Amino acid sequence: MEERKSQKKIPVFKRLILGLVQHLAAALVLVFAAGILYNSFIPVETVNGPKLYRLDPFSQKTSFEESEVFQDLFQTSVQDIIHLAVLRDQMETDGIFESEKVIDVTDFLKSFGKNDREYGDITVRYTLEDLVKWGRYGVEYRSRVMSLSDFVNYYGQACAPENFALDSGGSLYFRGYQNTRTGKDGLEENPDPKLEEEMAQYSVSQLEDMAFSYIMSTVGDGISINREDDGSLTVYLNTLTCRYQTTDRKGSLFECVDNWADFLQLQNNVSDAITIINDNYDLYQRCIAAYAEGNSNVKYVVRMQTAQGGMETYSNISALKDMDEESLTEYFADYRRYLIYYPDSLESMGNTALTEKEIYEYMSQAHYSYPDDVYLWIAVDASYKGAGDAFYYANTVFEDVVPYAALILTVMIILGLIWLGIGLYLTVTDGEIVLEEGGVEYYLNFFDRIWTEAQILLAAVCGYGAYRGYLFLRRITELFWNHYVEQAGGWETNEIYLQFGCFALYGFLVSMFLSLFWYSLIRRLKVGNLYRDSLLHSCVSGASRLLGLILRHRNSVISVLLPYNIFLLVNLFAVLGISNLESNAVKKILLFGIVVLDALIGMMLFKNHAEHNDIIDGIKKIQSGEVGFKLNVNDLHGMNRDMADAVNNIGDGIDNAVRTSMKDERLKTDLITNVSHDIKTPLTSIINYVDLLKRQDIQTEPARSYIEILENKSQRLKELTDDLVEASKITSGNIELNMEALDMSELLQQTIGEFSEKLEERNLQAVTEFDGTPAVVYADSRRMWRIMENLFNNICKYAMEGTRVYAQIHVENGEVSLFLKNVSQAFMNIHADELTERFIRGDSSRSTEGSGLGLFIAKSLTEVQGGTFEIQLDADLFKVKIVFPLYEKPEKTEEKPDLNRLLSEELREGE
Amino acid sequence: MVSILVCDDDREIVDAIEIYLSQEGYRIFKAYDGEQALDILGRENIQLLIMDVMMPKLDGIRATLKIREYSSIPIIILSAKSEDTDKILGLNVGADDYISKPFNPLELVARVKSNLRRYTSLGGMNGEGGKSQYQVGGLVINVENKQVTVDGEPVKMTPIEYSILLLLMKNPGKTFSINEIYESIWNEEAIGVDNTVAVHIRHIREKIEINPKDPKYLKVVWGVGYKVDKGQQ
Repeated sequence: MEERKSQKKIPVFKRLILGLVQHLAAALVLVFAAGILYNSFIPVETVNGPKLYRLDPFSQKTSFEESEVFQDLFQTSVQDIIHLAVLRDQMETDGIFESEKVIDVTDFLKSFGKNDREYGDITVRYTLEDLVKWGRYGVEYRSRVMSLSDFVNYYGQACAPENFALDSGGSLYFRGYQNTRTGKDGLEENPDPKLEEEMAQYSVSQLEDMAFSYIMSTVGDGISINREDDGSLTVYLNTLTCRYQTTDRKGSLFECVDNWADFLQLQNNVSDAITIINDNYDLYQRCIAAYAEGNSNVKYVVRMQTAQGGMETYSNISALKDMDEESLTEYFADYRRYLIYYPDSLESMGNTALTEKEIYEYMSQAHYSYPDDVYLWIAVDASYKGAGDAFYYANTVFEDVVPYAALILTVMIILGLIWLGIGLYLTVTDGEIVLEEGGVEYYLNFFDRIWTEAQILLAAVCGYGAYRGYLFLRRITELFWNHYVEQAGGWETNEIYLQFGCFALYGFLVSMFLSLFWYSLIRRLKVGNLYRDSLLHSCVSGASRLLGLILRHRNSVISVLLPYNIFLLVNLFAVLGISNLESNAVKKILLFGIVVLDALIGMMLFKNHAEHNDIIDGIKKIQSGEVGFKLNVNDLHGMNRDMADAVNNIGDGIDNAVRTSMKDERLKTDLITNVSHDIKTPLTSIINYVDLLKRQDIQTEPARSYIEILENKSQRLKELTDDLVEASKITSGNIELNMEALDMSELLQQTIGEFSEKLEERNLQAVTEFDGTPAVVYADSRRMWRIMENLFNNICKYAMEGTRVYAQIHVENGEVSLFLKNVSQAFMNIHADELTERFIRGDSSRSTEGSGLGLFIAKSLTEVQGGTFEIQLDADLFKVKIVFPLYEKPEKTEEKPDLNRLLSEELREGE
Repeated sequence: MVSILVCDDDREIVDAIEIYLSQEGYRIFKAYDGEQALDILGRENIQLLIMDVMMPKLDGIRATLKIREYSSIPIIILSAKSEDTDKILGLNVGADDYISKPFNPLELVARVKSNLRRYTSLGGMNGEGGKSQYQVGGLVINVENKQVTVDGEPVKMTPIEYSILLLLMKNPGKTFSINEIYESIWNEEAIGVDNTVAVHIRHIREKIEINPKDPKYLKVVWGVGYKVDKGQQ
């Protein structure tokens, strides 16, 4: 039985360890994923600001030069350099920035502007430095307010007749300012009299209106008109505040033009030019810094036709400036990645992914006029000697990450497979206990027994938690990237660890909760309690049980449920009815009546319950052994009375059963005793006559040995009957113990004294060992002797001749232990426990004297007296250990059995 | 010639006892139930009665009670009932000895002899003796000539056995532990005493008791010590 129990053990420990390994694998997978995620981007500083590249760790590109990052960086560089060349053309003279360079605003715009409007022909010139400074300071406008009359007469007399003409229909129109402050060339001195006549019909303000309309039609935006309260018209316009003088020392744009249309156009041109120049200057500064000689891994030579017409060469390797094209091409072709572009042949050489079309596009984007005349030599030094530029940094990160990405990926896949494998194994073996005797038993744990719906709900909550966790991880990853981009990698190591920890925890938790629910589901499916333990099932079965109960106990429905409901209804209607009554007195009486009725019913319920409790108490009393207890039936009523009757009957029944069983037990012992008496009488004859036969002095040899056998067997029969009686008495508990304090060492000495000759006969040497302290126990001395006698008889019978017999007494921990050890003569092919079974002897094949009850009696007697008896077999060493509690000072003297009382009882029975 | 009445419902046992006792020179009367026994006792001059307990018509206990109303002859009860209570009952209703079946014929003969000696030659309680003589039942120890007799028969003893018996006889009813005996006999402190005393006691019992395993005089109080009971009468 014990063995079976141990086999049934659920392999909790093993499953726990495997589960832990599984969760750890999941956590590691996520940590590695986080590692790839965090390391798979390259933030670089480009001319146009910081840029973040994402590395695809799954791409098989092994060298940086083949990666998309490189391609993109190279493209950017090509764009930058093309741009830079143009800028240098703008800003430099002979390769040096020239601040005094004169910029013709409108020409400049025509070359580099967006060309989204007409720039016109009117222009001014400023020095480059002034324009850049102006741009730094910012372009400012001043709001001007003019009367309509002032406005139209600003650049010449609006009402001058030469400004007007008559159309073919003869109506007057404004044809433009003919007379400006700047000159009166080509004026017709002979005004048309018809015109004058016509003009005379118009007032001055009407004529001015016509002039204003003409101006508006030429300038478009920039001018607004407003009618003031007095009816006059006011013109609003913004004029550019001129911070610097033009190269011909004009402080205001008004001076450079002779009409409003030109003024506004020029003003816009200057403003646009300033913006573009300023942007270009910034870009120029950045590009010069980024692609400075020795600072960058990008090498370039750009040979192009300048705006001024000559060929100019720009390069960040000063030594190459004057080389001819063929040598340049040779030089650049030595680089690992290069691009060479000849415009005249419209072909490019190189080993990058850039196409001619793309290069052409970059050139057109840069908006220069002469892309055909640009020669490009661009290369990247793949040794990345120039530290600090985008290529260098990107390469460093790439080299740090990509070679390991594949490894990490492999590890991740392996971990994933481990996770899956363990999961599969655990799923298959889930919920099973393999029994040693074959077959499989299923088990459920606490979690598997909760309602299925509750489990689903929990799973949903956990799923939502996982989703939130996923969002959180995404958020911290994004934060990390943003931070990285902003600070270019300045991120605290601790925080990284924290984030990796978050990933690991997430993996672990997800794996754990997944396992929790998944394995539970599997176990449920295996055992089949998915529905059985569901809320639905509980509800359904609960409802059906209730229905069954109601159907089964129709009587109770009629006697309890129905009256209860009627009572409720009566109460309800009474209360409702009373509240509707008019008369106050009747109301009170009825109310009183209801209170009394309710109180009576309450009393009834209380009484019923109290009686119920009485019955339960009675049942408990009977249960605790007071079988003669009787409930007083007269105090009870109704159903309780029936119940009490039944309980009393059960009590009687139990009482009878106990009496009968006690009687049976006694009868059994009596039977054995009587049978043994009946055996003893014929046995007496047998023994006596065998003895008489012996005395006959029979000489015939076989007869003598037969008599010997008869004598032995009859003696054995005698012992057997005695032992049988003794054993039956002990097992039925039918013995009286005469307990007293006695010394185990004294007993042992006495016993050895008694057996001294028997021991000598077998040449056995008794070795005793006491530790001097009195080994007093509380026992029946005669029974103790019986125990010792049986044990020593055993020793004398079965100990190996000529060996020592050890008898030891130890007193410790409030216990007296007696050890008897001897070497067995016969081979012991028997279990120690079996030796104390009834009718067992050490050597079952050998027929020796004795009943086989000796050890059983010794053990039973020991236990009856409150001791323990244990046999140990160690090969041929036979050990008996008897332990009794140490007897402390006597508290009360044990009563000796009253012999006279026994005697008189016996006599009475006999009569 | 001494006459003995043997009463048992088992004829074979009666016959066997007859054989043993006849060999010792006793005259045997046989009865097979209590009434027959009473009958024979009334008719014949019987010196000793051996009687079974479980017998038809009148059992041994009742018969003993009736006999004790008019006779004090030794009665030995011979019964298959071997419980202590049976023995106590038998001895208390007036029997002088109790032998349980199955018995050793030699023991029976010895007990018969012992009881007859006590009844015929030694008589009842012997008040004489004084300090020079200690007596418990049939066991007498004479200090003057250092002679031990059981029912008048002298018993040979070694000096140590004699000393031990004398110590116990001087204090009848008192239980002496092995150490106490050792200390008073050997006059030494009892440290690590072996089984000497127990062995001596056993030898003494073998000499003075008819059945050493069921001693009449020198009793073993197991786990406590040894004692000589006070006289039974």
